[in-house]
Amino acid sequence: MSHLLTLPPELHILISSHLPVPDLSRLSRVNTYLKTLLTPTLTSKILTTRSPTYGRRLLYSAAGRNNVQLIQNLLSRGILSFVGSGALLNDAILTESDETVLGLIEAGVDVTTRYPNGEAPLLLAAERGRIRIVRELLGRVGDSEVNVNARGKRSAVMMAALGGWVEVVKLLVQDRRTKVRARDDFGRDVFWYARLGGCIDVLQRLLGTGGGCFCMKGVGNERIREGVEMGVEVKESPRPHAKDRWRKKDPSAVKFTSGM
Amino acid sequence: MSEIKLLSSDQATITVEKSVAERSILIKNMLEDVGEVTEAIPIPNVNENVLKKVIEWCEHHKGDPPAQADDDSDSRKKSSDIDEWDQKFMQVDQEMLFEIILAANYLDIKPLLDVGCKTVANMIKGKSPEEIRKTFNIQNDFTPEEEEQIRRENEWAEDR
Repeated sequence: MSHLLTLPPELHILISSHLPVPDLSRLSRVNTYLKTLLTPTLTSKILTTRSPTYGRRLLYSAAGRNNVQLIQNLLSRGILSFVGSGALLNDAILTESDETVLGLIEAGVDVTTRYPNGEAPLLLAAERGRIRIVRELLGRVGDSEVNVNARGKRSAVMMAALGGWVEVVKLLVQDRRTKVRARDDFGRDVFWYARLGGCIDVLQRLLGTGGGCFCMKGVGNERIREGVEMGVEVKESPRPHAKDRWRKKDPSAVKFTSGM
Repeated sequence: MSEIKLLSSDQATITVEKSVAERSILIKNMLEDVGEVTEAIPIPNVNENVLKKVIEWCEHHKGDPPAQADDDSDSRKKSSDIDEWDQKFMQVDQEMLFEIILAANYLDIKPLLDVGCKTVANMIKGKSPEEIRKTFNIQNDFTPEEEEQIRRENEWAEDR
């Protein structure tokens, strides 16, 4: 006979209040009764101690197991006030599996959070070639999120191209909201990034250009896409080099670009 | 110095200093309600051995400041800080340990209850579920599949 189990539940909970999280978890794994009694206690402990480390792990674990109910419970009890620094999804994209991130998204975690440098979940997912996440986010974010810029006006499609994530580039380019002609602060467009990322051929095929450093003047996204759909090869048109344009606008920028 | 008598569940009468007995909030409230009593106060849930042990604790701690109603949050944080005398006091077999905890709970002696619970918590710390079962003689009623599933579900809580 176990003397421990002769105690009433409130005393088991009192004992568990003196245990750190790992020990409490192990106690809850001892038998069915303790599991039933202490699993909610374990969750509550995370919320009362406001441990960012365990809070994050618990959230990610719940998301990885697709336990939407638990995630929503944690969110409604204010877990984000001490986990994620306001950018939980961003953090998860950097470190967690697709299943975990998709679980968080499905549970309703904010998909428009930003790091202080402006990086949004879509950009981070694109940068890391997380195609399932990119696809999910494209289905959930508004128009403005698709082209959100960070770190010198780099966009999701630019970062996907830089990483050489061909499928992600395709996905983003095929989304009619993506501004393929956008440029970063240095005047570089998606072709410049694609060349670095080794996926310029794919991008050229998608957009039907000759692969210049910049997009064609006067040819907007819609026309490019329509052209691709019709099998029309759109020729590259000459365009002034960005360096020249910067010289005209901002002499200080010349110094910066001359080292590139 | 006034004394009162306590009657244990096995009908033993124990005489104790009133101020010592009043470490128990239950007895304290009872005495406040009934005033002076000459006959023994029945303590039906606690046998003589345990009651003597509890009184021993109360005597040692009779000069301690009374516990505040919401004072427990801080003491729970420091679960290992049991003073030396209390540690020795709690070096008893498990049956007695849990009887003391039950008595402290019944008699409403919060500091003793805390010491008891901390002692049990310290017996659990650092042990695997199997070691906890062995320590407290608990039967594992999970199937191997359930056990594996629970292990996975709780992986997040392990130290890395």
